[in-house]
Amino acid sequence: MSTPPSGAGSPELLRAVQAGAPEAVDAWFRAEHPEVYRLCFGFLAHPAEADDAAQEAMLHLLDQLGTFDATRSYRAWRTTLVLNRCRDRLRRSDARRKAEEGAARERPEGFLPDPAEVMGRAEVEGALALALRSLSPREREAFVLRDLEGLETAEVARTMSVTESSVRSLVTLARRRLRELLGAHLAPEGGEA
Amino acid sequence: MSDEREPLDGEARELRALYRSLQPPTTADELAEADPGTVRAVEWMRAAYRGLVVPPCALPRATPRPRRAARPVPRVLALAAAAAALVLGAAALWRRLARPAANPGPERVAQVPAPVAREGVEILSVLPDRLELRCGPVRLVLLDPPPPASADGPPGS
Repeated sequence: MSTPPSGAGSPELLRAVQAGAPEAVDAWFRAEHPEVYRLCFGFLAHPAEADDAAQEAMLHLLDQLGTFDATRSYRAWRTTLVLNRCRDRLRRSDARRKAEEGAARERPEGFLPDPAEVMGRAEVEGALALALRSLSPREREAFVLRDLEGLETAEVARTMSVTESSVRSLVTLARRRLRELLGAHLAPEGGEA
Repeated sequence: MSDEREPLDGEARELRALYRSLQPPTTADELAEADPGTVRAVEWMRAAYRGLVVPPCALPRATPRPRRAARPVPRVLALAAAAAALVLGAAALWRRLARPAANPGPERVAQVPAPVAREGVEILSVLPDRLELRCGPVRLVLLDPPPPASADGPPGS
């Protein structure tokens, strides 16, 4: 990640933000926004939606920061709030669901570029969104939290309010679906991308 | 009814054997335990996710703007508003009292009250210490009392 979560969630910074120190709010916002945007992108699988949702979630987080219990994990608290905002957003938008059903049948063409290449960024973003949209919302949540965010299974289960075995099943299904979708488009090891 | 089960033919037996040999998918947590194809797909997703270009964020105003102190309403305006309300009320009352004589018909069971004509209020004069209004037969003069005379000054000056 470009910014470590510990930066935005450090107790000193959070206390300063809660006290309303302008420079602390700025620092917190700058550190936190990329993390929140990525989460929103992961859960919503749509760049423009993720941008809107991230802005909205940031303001919501800032608003709710006063209720954060410092004895708990800041990251878990933040992720749960963002997930709930994204769920609300998905629930509100029935059109989104229909679009997802259509997008799930789409397939990337040709070989996928290496995400490390700057030139293919837009293409990578599009392919990533497409791949995420091929998952059901629950699979996507579990996959983003477990495999992309690197949370432990127990943490994912708590965040999603499901059992750990459900998380394992969802992650397994998501991985299998992604392998089926992307496998043919990924250069084999040692081959060219 | 017969308890005898139908003998399985070759295809059904084969199907049963296949069904029993089915293995549930592994639900391993660790990606390292997955097959190479899955690992490649997940690693590609991970790299793409981490390389996402984050759009610029709009920073909020960190500190709430102090509320401006409410400006005191000029006294003449406040008086004018109060006077206008009084005159309008008086005009409405006057019209209401005058109406039964003009329309005494008993068959009329309901009437929509006539809107109060705001243009009926006429401002006759506006001076720094005096406001004179008229609506129909009602005339209202509002006076702003002069400031109390200084105790040091000579009386009547």
